[in-house]
Amino acid sequence: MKNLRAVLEESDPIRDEPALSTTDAREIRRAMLAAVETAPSLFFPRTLPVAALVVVMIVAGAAVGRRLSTTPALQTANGRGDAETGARGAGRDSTVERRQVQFATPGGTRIIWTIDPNFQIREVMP
Amino acid sequence: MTGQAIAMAGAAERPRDDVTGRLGSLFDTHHQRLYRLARRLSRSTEDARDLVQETFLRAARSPDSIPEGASQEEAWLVRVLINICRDRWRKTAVRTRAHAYEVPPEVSGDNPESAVMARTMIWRALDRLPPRRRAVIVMYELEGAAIPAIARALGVTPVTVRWHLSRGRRELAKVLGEP
Repeated sequence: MKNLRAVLEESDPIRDEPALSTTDAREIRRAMLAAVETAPSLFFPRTLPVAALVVVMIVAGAAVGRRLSTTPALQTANGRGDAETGARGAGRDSTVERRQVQFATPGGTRIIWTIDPNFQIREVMP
Repeated sequence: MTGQAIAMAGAAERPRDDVTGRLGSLFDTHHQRLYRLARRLSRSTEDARDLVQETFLRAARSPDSIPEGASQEEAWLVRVLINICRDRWRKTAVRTRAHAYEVPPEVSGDNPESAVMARTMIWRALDRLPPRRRAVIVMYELEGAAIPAIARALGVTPVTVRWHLSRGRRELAKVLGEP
């Protein structure tokens, strides 16, 4: 590969061309130092977006949590059935909310209680 | 109180002054060597000048990442320069590079015209090499750097350097019409 080295050396641009001129060097140096002067502080560019993201996530989490907490979560009596509550009866009566409690027994029977909000226990006198 | 306030202000200013001073000396120490490398890695003096400027601008943007010590500084700058070359090389269309030289004619003999053609061809062929491979060829063949030193400068293993050297030589030999 002697030939390659010889060809490279013969055609090396550094051989014939002058080095980086003083004017160019000074200009590059000035540009570099100006970049230091105008560079924003190291704190700002990295931490601000991260902080903003954290704030957004906290706000979003709080909003979701608040929304979930407004829906009452009912547990089944034995604690292992899946309880499901909701405003399923809302379509029937817009002013009165009918609630359902669903759960499954260990034997597999699915039980649905529909709670009538208008139901009142009255004492019936004989 | 006034004296104390002035002293505090001076202390607050010092880090930026330190950075400026350090970058200044970094530039003074390495700019000529970096320019030589950039010139051998680029097509024109303008490109080389731009490469050097971009390298030092990157240094100015992240002065904390520059390691201490002259040889480490130089290696860092070389790596940054080659990364810039790689970015530019990737941006250049493959088509453009393919047109740089197509079917190389046979270059042979003692004919002076052949020699000129060989020079042109070899630098065109260098243009086609990936920047890291080109840097390995330039540093080894022209600068006479040892393989471990090239590996340190480029942040790769000596095995990788040898591999680039071998591939690069083979590609260039093809252009020169060597078997």
